[in-house]
Amino acid sequence: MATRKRGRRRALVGTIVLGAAASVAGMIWLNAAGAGSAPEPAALATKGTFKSEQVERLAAESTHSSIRGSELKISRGESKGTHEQIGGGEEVIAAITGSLAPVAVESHDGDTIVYSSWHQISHPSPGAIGQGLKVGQPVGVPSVRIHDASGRDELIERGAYSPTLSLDGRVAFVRGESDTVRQNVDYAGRIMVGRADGTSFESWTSESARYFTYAWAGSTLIAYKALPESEAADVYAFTGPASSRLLAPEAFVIAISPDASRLLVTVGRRMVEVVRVADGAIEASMTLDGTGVAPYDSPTTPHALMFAGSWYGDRVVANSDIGLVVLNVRDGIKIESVLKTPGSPTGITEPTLLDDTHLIGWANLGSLPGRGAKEEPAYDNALVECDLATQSCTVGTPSASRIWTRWVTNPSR
Amino acid sequence: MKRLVLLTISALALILSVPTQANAGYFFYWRNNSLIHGSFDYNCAGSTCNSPIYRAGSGSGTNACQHNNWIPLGNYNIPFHNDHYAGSLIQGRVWRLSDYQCSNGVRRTELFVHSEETSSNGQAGCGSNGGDGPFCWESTNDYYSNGCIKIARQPVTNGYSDLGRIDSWVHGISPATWLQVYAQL
Repeated sequence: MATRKRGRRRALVGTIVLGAAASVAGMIWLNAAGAGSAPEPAALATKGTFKSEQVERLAAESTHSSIRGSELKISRGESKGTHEQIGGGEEVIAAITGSLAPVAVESHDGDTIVYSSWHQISHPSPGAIGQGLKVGQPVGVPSVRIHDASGRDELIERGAYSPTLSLDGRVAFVRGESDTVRQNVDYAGRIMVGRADGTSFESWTSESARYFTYAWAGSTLIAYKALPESEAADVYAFTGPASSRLLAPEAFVIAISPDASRLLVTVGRRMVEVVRVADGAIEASMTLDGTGVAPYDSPTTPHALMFAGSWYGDRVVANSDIGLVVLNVRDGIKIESVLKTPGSPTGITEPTLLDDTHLIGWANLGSLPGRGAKEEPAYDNALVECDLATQSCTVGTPSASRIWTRWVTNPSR
Repeated sequence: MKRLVLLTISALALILSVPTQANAGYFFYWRNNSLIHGSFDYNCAGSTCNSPIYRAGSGSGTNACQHNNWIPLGNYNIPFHNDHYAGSLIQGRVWRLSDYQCSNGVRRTELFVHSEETSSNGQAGCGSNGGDGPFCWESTNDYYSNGCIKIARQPVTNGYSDLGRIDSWVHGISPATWLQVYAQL
């Protein structure tokens, strides 16, 4: 694998980033002229709060496939209108990645769906020391499966996770060195790439590591390589076996541009950048906080933008700790809106723009735990559909925490 | 007899409400609904040994069941402690935590209690990496993390940083063998 040391890239782009940040900060200051000093990136943004209404069925469910537990509701392609059981008896959840990658991705025509499943072996005990699990204890087995319009629902690979599907039908995922995930043992593997018919898989990585395959930007596979002793990761572009380049160190992808040429990423925590897929060049950047920008604990500027947002036209949406953030990337990067999401304590996850103003996603329901809480809440979760213009959301039927309800989307472009 | 039964039940309830191991130390962390204004302390079973409460931080987001976000509420084993850990991204005085699986199945891994210092407990590379060197505590911005619990390495007052004080409690009394994360102090 061709790699670039993080430190070297940081040195190369340091001047560019600082220059760009100063330039952006300067632009915001100029824009604020006449309106008083407004140094924070979100200071000029529209602030709002989503109003939400629970409904039995979301309008988008008639045009977008979704899963609830092991039930697949197909709303596109040849099998539109059908409900099918998938998973082969396993849970349809992405235990290894969470929302770093979608639990299920669909082909362009909606006929083929590649998804994650999970077989739990040891069950965590709430309240027990270390959840009652010992170092090395088997916890579970992840798998990657495929469902198509013929009704075929099959295992592609056991001991695998993080499935992706390109627009031209290539499947990529990570194949673990072992099938079984074990407590406090790094689950390392190799990136495998092949066809959706399950044939001809080859390894694109020469070494085993904690990879997470995210999506395709054209014929380039965008994947994370996790950093040691951390949930942080570097973002890489893979173009073939043992052929890759570092795009962004210590970064997460917010979204891929519609033409697949750029990524919007968060680098570190507070830097947001537009990065060119072809060569990793930084086209634009914005700092969320720091000297001359905003206090580190500013209550109005997001402290970080979450991965797994989406990009439509010049607009990008991303979840954050203070609500849904709408960015415009037409000339540089600007925060357009910050919209609170009451009733959804962790915001709108995996927000996916359908057009300039409509988006779908999913949300945990309830409120953040209060004083005395010593276990993470088992939030119900539900599909959501929102309108940025009217600042309103409809919320679908809640599912219990372990019964994942998610849209079947595809961040690949 | 009735009183004895009640006393026994009460004692059992107290014991079972917080996991304990005889003579073992343990940590508490309170998220306090903040990424950088959490609270951390050391305790031990069997005697009065509560450390002062120190400021700490965790995560870069508030969705505990996603990578890179604050640490989930719950109880964690501490598989090891090392005063001179020589990792790639974290070094020095660290406590490794057990992996955590949320009720929705998502697993959080690579969790530590740590700071920003070198393996020899010094400071290096200050101002590097865009102003946030991984082995230097430059500012309160360093309380943010990729999911771990961060304790300050600066300032040093009376010869100790918060990290140094916590480490002194551990070495002076008993190793910390588990950590409980609460929502709010």
